[in-house]
Amino acid sequence: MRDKDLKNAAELVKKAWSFRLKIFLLTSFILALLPALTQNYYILEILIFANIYSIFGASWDILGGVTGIFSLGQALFFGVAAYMSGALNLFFGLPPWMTIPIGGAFGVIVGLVVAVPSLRLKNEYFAIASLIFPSILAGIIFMYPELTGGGIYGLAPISGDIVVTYYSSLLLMLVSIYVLVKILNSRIGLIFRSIRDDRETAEASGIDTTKYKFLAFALSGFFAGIAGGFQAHLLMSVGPFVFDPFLSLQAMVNAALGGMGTIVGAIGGSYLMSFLNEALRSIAQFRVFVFALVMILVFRYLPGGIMRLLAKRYRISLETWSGLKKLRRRENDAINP
Amino acid sequence: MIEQILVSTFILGGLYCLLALGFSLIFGVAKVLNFAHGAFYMLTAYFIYSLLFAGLQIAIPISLILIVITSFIVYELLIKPMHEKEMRAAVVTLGLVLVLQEGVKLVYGPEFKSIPYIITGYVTILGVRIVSQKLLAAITAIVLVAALYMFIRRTKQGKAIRAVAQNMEVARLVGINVSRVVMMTMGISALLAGVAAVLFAPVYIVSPTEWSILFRAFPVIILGGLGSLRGMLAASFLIAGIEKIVEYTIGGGYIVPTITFSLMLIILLVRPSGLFGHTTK
Repeated sequence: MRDKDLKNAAELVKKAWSFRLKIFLLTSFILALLPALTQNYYILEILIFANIYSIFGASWDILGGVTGIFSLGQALFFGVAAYMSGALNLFFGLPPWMTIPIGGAFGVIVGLVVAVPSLRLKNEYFAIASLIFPSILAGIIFMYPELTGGGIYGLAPISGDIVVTYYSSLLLMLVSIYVLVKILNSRIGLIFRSIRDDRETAEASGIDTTKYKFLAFALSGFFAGIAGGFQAHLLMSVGPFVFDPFLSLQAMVNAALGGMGTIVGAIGGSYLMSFLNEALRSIAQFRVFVFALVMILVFRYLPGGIMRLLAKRYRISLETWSGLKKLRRRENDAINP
Repeated sequence: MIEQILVSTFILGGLYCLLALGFSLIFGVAKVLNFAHGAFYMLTAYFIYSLLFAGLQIAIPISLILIVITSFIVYELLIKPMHEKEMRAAVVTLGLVLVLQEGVKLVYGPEFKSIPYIITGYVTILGVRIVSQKLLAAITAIVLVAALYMFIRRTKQGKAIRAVAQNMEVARLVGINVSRVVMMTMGISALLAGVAAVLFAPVYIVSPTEWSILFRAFPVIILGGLGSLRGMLAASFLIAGIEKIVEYTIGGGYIVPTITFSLMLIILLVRPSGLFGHTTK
């Protein structure tokens, strides 16, 4: 790579980062101020769900959008974590701030288990298999109602105060997204993207793609698990509905509407879908219909998502590698050893 | 009980091989997981239901024509333009399933409907009394699959389908009209789903979520290996047999799909391209 190109690239990276940081801060600011404007329980609850689904969508994105492993069963991680958080809270009395991360840890375990078949399977087989993974667990829960009670009720709420709950969800969401964006733009993220774009070449470059696929599954499982654990405490109950295939689709559509492979897109997608869902409250029978239409339109016509559309307007890239300096140093070393 | 298991396996296996075959046929040629395949089944049943006023003899052929036209539209609008982006196309077809499900629900309501049998009465085989329609359905399914096998193996059109399935680019190079062949395959695939609905929808239920019957056929598809005709046939009866054995010994309900799904998972771990699938790409 020539020095000039590197300089240009570095400039682009800088521009992109400052733009993103601005947007990120602005969004956080607006979202943080919202409870000052309204303390309406109903509105805040919608926003809390939007925050949870942002995390959930981003967890799909790191696997599907960034690493290119299309999982159609993201609800698996979400559901297992929700059940685990619920059980730990109800049977062992652990508080939500402990059960939610532990739920995330269970998400990691499930992610690693699911990663094993995904390594051996062609994408299509994995897609079919992942679509019905959650159904297996839901089936087991239905099969042994005496063991699981079908559902778990009476969990501790996140907080008695809706505003506090809102702030915890917002904080959790912003931290999760920040961590994932950092990963996306790190060396690891670069490797994830190289696996998506051309696995063989990545392997030929000496990258242990197996290891990084496991990592992608673990990350995806963790953040989906956190979202699942949070929702369990928010609803104060867990039922087989956490394994609904529709939930998997929601994660996917939220991420894709915002922009597949951008992580931040999940926030945009999730908020948009939440508002859309609320706008359709009076004609609730059209909700799934509209959701499915959005799904078709996004995947057919707008794979880049809304965030990329915006980014394009400002001529910035949402995926960059901030390790350019390091690369430059290495290049120099190569030239003048 | 063994006779009962055998007879019901035969019938369920017939349904599975019709569904799985159509699904794997279009996958083999267009490389797209067409989840809307189940929706084609459901839609055909509703076409027949709404055309019943004209009599069953007219309703069935018109419904089949309609479903083939629908599949052409789906192919032209949603699958063909997404060449090389097959996973995205698969998600689009999954969205289409929901659109069709909700659309049907809005037009016809969520209640179960029913469509009449083609033939009425009962027959007794192996000492088991079953509805004639079921026997007709299973036999027709097997005859159709055999006919399709011959069509693909013996005719020039079938050869073109196999060529496209093997390598689309090379098929194009030797002068095969690839998009026409894929279109034809899509039509055949939709026709199989339609015929499955004609035969089996009367004995099961007609409801907007009946497309999920494709879900039940997934273990067959995985076990048979996508794109393998003979494997699919064997897997259909194997899975149907396992389901029926479970149903008659342990019980029905949620246990049956859970067991076949788990079995599928184990098979995938041991043999990633299915029991009868090609091990090489």
